[in-house]
Amino acid sequence: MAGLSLTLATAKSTLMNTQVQMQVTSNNIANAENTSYARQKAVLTTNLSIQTHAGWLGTGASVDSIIQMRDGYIEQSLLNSMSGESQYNTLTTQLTIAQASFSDDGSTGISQALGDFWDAWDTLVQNPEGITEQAVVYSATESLVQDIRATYDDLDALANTQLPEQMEGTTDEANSLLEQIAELNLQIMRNESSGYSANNLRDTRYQALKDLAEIVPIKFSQETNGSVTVSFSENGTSVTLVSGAQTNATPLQYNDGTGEVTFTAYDGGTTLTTDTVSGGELGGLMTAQDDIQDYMERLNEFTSTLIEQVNGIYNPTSDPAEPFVFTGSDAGDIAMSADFLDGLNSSELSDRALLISNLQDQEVSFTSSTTRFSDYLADIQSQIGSDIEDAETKVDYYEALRSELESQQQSVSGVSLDEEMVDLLKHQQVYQAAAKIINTTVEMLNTILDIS
Amino acid sequence: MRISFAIAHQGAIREINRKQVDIDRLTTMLSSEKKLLSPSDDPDAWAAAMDLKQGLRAIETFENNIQFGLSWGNMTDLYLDRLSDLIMEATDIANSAITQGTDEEHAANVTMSEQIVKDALEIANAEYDGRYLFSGLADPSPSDLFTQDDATGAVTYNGDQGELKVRTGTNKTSIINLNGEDVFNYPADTPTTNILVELWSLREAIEAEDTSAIQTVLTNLDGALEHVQSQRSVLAVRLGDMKSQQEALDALSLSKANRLSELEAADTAELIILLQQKQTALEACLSATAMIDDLNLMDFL
Repeated sequence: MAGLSLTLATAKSTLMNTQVQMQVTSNNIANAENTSYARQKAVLTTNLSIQTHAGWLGTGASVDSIIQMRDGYIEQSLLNSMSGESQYNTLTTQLTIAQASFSDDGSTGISQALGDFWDAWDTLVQNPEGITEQAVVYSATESLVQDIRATYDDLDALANTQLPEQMEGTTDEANSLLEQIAELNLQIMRNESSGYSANNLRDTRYQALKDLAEIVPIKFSQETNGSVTVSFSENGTSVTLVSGAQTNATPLQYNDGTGEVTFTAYDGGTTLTTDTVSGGELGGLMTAQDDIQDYMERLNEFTSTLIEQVNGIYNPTSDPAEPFVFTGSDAGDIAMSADFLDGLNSSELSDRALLISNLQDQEVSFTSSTTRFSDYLADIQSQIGSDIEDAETKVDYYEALRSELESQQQSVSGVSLDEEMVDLLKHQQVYQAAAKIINTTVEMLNTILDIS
Repeated sequence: MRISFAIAHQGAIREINRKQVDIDRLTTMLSSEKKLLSPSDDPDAWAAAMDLKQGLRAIETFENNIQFGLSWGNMTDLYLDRLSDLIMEATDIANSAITQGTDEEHAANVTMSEQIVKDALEIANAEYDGRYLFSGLADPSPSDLFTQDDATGAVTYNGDQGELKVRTGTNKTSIINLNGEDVFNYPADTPTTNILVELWSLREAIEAEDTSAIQTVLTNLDGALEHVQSQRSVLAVRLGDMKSQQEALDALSLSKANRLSELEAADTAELIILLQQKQTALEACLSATAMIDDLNLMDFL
């Protein structure tokens, strides 16, 4: 039978509910700036009614659960866009470093050294026996050799030392994140076995998934037990990296020798070895390494052709007893022969100097085209520029996509201070009303007591 | 759509960053006065600019070579002019010697013809910039280019017939020298004698007062003079060609420099206007960001 004590109990539970709601609001406000946090909401359910002579009488409400506002589809799309943005950001950064290594605007670097090299031979034509003219040829040749080698060495260090180190680092980081996700899965499964959502653990796991997506492109799917399954796909093959609380000891392994990365499934059953990853920082690093190695090959081709052409003119019979201008075979080992101008008479020097100088106007056959040496150099730079321009365009695209998806994700999961303020007002008023009920009920009880 | 607290601020920060990147880039362009700062700014324009720079460098080289060729040619012409004068002087002395003057006149003619032989040999061994003018491509150092046996008048040429060529245009070379054999041996098509030998013979004939021999040398000297003039004509054609080429290169250089400037140089006025636009946009961004804080329910409670 209903009575004032039931009213007091109902008002009390309202106060308790409101305190929980206030705490949820407070927690939301505390995490307002955290984009990995999904706003929470205390879900109230109406208590069972009791039957009275007047009918079914409500007994208030209680907090059923505290839920998170999430949209799995938008979150997966957001992770994809983050992988894309991270890949092309990394690529842009690395290629910009390679571009700076060339440091060649026609007035500096290899182009300038090449121009000085041709000019020196031109000047030698005017006075083949001149000490100054010969010194200029030696100096220009040495400068050209040094510039080519310095550029090649910079690119080589970038492609074959720095990038592999970074790839090693990123795979270690990815492994650590995968381990963390598996551990979080375990904790979430345990926590949620009681029927309550482990919201904070889910937020932490979502942050780990975002961090992982910035390294490698991943897919995740939500399981009914609260865990997520994380997988990686490339070239039509999919590898499950995390399932429940399981992951391999080293799910990602970078092979320095081949430049490939091996992805191993959580149970060790499936492996995928690839030299291309379509997304994430790892994908950007792998693409940058390929591109830079391509520039190195082109610089090698330029250098070997230069060596072949100049030496072919200077020592047409390839007589080992006679001097060559250059030694070595490519950009990695090109060097200047010592005192190569000695031993030739004035007439021979004049003839050969003119022929070497004429090389600058001649179209020479390279793998990709038949063109002049200077044009080939400009083409390498143009290629680097185009690659950076393409990567920057993709960064812009993925940035815009990420921004849009982040807005959508935040629209669902983000904390709006205005909304929280309105909720706060609402909770305050409910709390005040419940307190008023208690006050009134107590007064009524006192009235009864006074009568007696 | 709900606008969360985080997304409103993230959006503001992103836009502020973008504007600041744009402003930084425009400021760099303004301070460097270049709109092409790296290949990625405009790969095609960069390649075109590199090509133009290469072209300008080559033109500078061609102009330097032409200058050298003109100096060499002018010096050669100067010596050939002196050689012509010597031959004419020798002709006058020969005519004077034929008229059988006094002993003093004879002695003077011998002395003058002796001097002409020496002067002509000096011309043959003339140098420019440390090189013999008439040695072809050979460098006979430390020997003289031309030596003459004082007893027989025989001349030894230690040079060759090499052509000294310099690059004066793309795939274009110009010959700038005349070799000693071509200059001093004549007639040009089938050389039978040498100017130095004829001048020595004149001195011998005058000394011996052999009018018949003097008469023969006189005839030969006419041919020598004509030969020297023809060599000067060859030289004049080459010099004229190089001068024309120099003018063409000047025009080409100007055209390439203009095109390079169009590709590479920043338009200061345009950049300043763009900078002002970006500054205004940044100010608007900052102002909007400040307003985000004001547009909050907390301020009204």
